[in-house]
Amino acid sequence: MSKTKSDKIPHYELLYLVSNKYSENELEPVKEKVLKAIAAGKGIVTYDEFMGKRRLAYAIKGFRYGYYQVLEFDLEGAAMAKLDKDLKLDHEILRHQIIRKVAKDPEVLKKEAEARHRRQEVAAAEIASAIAQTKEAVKAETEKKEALVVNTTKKIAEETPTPKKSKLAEETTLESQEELDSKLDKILGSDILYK
Amino acid sequence: MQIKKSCYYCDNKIDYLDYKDVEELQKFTNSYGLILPKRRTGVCSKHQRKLAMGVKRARVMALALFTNK
Repeated sequence: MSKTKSDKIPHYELLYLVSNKYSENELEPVKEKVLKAIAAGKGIVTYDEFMGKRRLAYAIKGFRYGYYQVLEFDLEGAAMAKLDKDLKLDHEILRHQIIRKVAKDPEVLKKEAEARHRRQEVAAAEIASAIAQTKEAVKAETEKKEALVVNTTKKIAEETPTPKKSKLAEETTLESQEELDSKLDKILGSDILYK
Repeated sequence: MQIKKSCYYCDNKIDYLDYKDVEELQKFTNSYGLILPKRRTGVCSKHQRKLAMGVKRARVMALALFTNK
């Protein structure tokens, strides 16, 4: 740990979450308000990072997406309590978290943020590729199934109806009218009917 | 699951555990979002404590899940 100014005045990191009810243009006034609150406690902001829009792990007050903003500052303990309360009472800020931290060079923090973003992108890409793969697999399977169904229906269509029809037609043509008449007479003439 | 014998944070000389880096923390949680025990993660005691704190902080800010059913 390097002995810096923050050894005397505590250094904090604030992360606050604004719901996606607001557009990205409307975030600036919220940030200004927070900065003003920090300035009111004679705080000095050392680092500022917009983490962008993210999908929340779980819904908060019905919101599934939100904007994350990071601010680091040196602030006296008494003023910190007031800032915490102000943030809690703010309607625009869904949630916030202030943690105590060892002060770091802003450039180092920037590098860390970049690494974080890269990992995030890689993870997102992995998820996207996994989704694409599963989608493709599902597509291929459905296509296979459809092909199978089409094939079987074709087979059935080819095998069953045409030969049966022809046989039936042959039978009917073979049995002439006279034969039918004789058969009928036999049935009618027999005693089976009257029994 | 394979047991890792060396501490990830000691090996990579990460002096500060950032709770905002969820993708990193997810290595030490299972698919339900629960923190894995030290014997499973292989992380040393000092870093395991920080890790647990980081995951809990991430959960509060909806960066990570409390539980995933």
